[in-house]
Amino acid sequence: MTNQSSEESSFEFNPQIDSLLVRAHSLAAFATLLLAVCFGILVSLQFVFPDSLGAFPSWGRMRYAHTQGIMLGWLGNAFIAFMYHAVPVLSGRPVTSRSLGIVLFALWNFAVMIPGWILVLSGYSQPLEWAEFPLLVDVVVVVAFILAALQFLPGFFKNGFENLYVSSWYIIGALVFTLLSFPMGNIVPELIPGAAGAAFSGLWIHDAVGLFVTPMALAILYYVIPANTGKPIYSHFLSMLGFWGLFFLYPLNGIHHYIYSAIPMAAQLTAIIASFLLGAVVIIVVSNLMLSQRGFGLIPKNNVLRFASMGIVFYLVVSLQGSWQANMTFSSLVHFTDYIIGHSHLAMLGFATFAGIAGITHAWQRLPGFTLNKKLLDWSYYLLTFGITLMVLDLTLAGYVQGELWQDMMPWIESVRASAPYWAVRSLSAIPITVGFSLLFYSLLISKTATVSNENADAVESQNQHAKNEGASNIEISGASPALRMSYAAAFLGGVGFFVLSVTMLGVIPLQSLNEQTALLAPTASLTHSSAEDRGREIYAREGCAYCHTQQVRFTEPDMQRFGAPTLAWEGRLDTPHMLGTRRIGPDLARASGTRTAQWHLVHLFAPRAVVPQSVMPAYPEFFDGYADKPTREALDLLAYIETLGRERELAWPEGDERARTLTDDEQVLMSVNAEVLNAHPARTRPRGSAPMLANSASDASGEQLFLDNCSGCHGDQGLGDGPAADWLQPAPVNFAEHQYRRDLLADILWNGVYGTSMPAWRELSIEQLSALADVVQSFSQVAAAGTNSQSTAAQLNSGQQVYATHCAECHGDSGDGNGFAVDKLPIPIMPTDFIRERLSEAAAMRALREGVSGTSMAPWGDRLSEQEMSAAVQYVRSLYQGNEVVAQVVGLESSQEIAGDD
Amino acid sequence: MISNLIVFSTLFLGVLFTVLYIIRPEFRARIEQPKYAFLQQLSMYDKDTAVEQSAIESKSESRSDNDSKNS
Repeated sequence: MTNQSSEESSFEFNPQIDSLLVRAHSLAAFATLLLAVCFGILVSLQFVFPDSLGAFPSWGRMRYAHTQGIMLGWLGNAFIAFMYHAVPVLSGRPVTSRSLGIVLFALWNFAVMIPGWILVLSGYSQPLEWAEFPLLVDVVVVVAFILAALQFLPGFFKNGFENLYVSSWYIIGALVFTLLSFPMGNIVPELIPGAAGAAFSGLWIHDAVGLFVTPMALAILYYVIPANTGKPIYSHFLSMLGFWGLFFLYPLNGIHHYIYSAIPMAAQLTAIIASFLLGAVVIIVVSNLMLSQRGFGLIPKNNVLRFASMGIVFYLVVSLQGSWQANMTFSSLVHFTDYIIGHSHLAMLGFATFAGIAGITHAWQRLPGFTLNKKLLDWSYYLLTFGITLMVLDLTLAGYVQGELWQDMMPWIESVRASAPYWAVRSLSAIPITVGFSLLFYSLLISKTATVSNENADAVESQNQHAKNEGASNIEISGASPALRMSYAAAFLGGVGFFVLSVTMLGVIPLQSLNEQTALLAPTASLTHSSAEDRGREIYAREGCAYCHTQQVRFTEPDMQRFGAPTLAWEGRLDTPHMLGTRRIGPDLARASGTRTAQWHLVHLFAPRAVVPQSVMPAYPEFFDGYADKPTREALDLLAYIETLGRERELAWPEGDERARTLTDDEQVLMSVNAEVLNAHPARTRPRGSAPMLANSASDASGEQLFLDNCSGCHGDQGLGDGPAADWLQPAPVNFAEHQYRRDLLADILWNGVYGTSMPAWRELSIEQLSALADVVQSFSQVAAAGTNSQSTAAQLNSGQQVYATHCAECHGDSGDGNGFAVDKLPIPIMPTDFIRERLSEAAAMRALREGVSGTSMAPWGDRLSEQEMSAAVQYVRSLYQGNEVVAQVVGLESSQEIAGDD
Repeated sequence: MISNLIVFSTLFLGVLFTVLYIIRPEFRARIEQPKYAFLQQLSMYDKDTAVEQSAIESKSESRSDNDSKNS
């Protein structure tokens, strides 16, 4: 040991490790880990077998339980177990007391983990990433952290900071800064709405990793490497450079989770710059760690070093990923994709978990009387390394595929379909991971070699006695000069200062800026939520909808093209806590208002695959009384909330945006208010009239598959209007066998949807795909053949014309084009049938006339017209069809193809 | 502006401490000292643990000897 200082002081070394608490937290760590992994497996299976989780709590709730279980249950317990071993050695003093330890253990597991899980699974939660446990549990977590600080920190103070090793710095830093950042991330977003709240939330998302998980994991690595190599670390200077670099830069990273959002660009750029610099610091840290175990290889024989070594590799990769993800161009590609899910798994299950295992196995093997089975550890290492590498590679590739498909403006469902094999592999990767963790857990359980139940307590007592008999060991070390003591004080204050700086720059200043922007641009008459809408919001939050549907149209071209004008800060002024979201399995919902009909939403909630056959969305039959058309209040509340998303901007449009242009020169705001379309959702119905021309006969042979993927849920596989959703929709989906469409009308319907019905628009399909679909729809029709069976006489047609003129023309128009003078006054605003471009079979026309059409304004005429009159009217309207004449008046989008007749 | 501040202050502090580390041997010794002290602490702890381990093992052996005698 070098001793260059002139001063000498005595370092009292009396470590007494409480093996009971090490064991208790280690076993709790693995128990919670296995449970959290089970939640994760169930969550991942949803993507592979979307209807298989009926008996379990909803997907979102299990997702909440999964993330909190990994962070607080597994890593929290693992880190505490390690601290019970390491802090006495590092500080030379025992922890404060076993009683306090028992209270901390009970609090952490029986007042945080178990109630937290029960509450989120029961529907009491916060829709905040890495902060899902409800506020009540958050308070207990803060108390637990205070107790942990009281338990572990006094030893360092008693023996002084003269020779504070880097692991001690990280442990002290983690406990102090988590105490500062946890309430900020868990409580502040409950008080501040929208994007400003998201800024604080983003700070916590990164602080949870940067100020809690990473410091503790690095404390373990810096501890176990010299303890197992028998050599000091390569450079303590580099380790301290890394320590301060990380604590300075990590908190400044948070906003990189919300790049291209409404959060001020200055804050976003700060986070991006800090992210890049952090990458450089991580390279210093990793180099130092790798050099510290030089000579032992990448896969050392020592099990602890082996896990530590792989943890370091994972740390390097995940950190460089993190820096690169902050690049704006790259972020626009991979953000919201599975790439991010892979990244977070690499951080928590790769880096932090491997470090945690290294810490626990190191501590456990030094418990008197306990040894671990090396073979089990070997198997566990290889299985975990393989499983986690497979999962991360798989999700990374899935993310690239999803991002590319979104940027290419492919239909949303294509990204879901393309992800299917990746999601299956992700689920399969859980097998080696689960077996690996189970082997580790088992190795702990069978590790007791030569003791009986109370012998570890005896060992502690014996150790205490030993210490009393021998007198505490003293290590002579160089003393601290006043200047050094001052530097520690300055460093501590500097650390707190950095944290305050980050919160100020990335939380408080954006808050002020967004508040000013909201005051300037928001409509003066605020549209508040009704009680039903508020209740719906709570349901949306508790079921974790925000984990699959974002509520922010980003300031990027693909987002603007697909969803419309980017979301402005004032649009989230009622969103407390915010639900901007960080992942898109389904499409963004920021402009959901008015996009789909209520019926479509209800069927989609009840049986998602009935209306979107390829969907992986969980079904929510618990919101219904057995049928999609019998919603409970919860379903209606949720629907009411969805209809608020984007409503206020929609109502203020276009005057609101015009006004905004005159009030601000903010580039982000101008980009939003100058957007071509406020709501560009490709499924949103539009008035008829503008549609692209479809090719006469599409060369694309994928029409049948397109029909099955997109239309069969309502119209049935054979187009008979008998799909799984048909019973719940009014008007019922069309039976194509009974209808004959002219091609320009089909183009109109496919491009614009049918306003007022659940028939959405399909603008996200290409012209070629729409043409192929039109081919399939026309191929189902049997109307032309049926029409030849009944020859109408001139007398019949004359009679029919009179009936039509008297009773039908006011809605269907004098010419039969479906545009009569009463159209604007219809109680249900669905356009009447255009008989010039659509012909019904005789039977279908008679049925409609006799019984009316449910869900439309078409009344039954069976009690008002005779059979002859109805028959005559049917013959007349069928004669109006002009299918063979190419007369479509089409405005429009580019296509050189002619509209052609249908038969 | 803030971005520049972060970049320059981080680089400045990093360079400052690196230069100090290179040109001031006493600073270098001081900042590297904890890693040696820690190794010493580990060694002392391992010695203590070894004593405890052998005590438990001998206790266990004598207990199993007694058990086998009794049986």
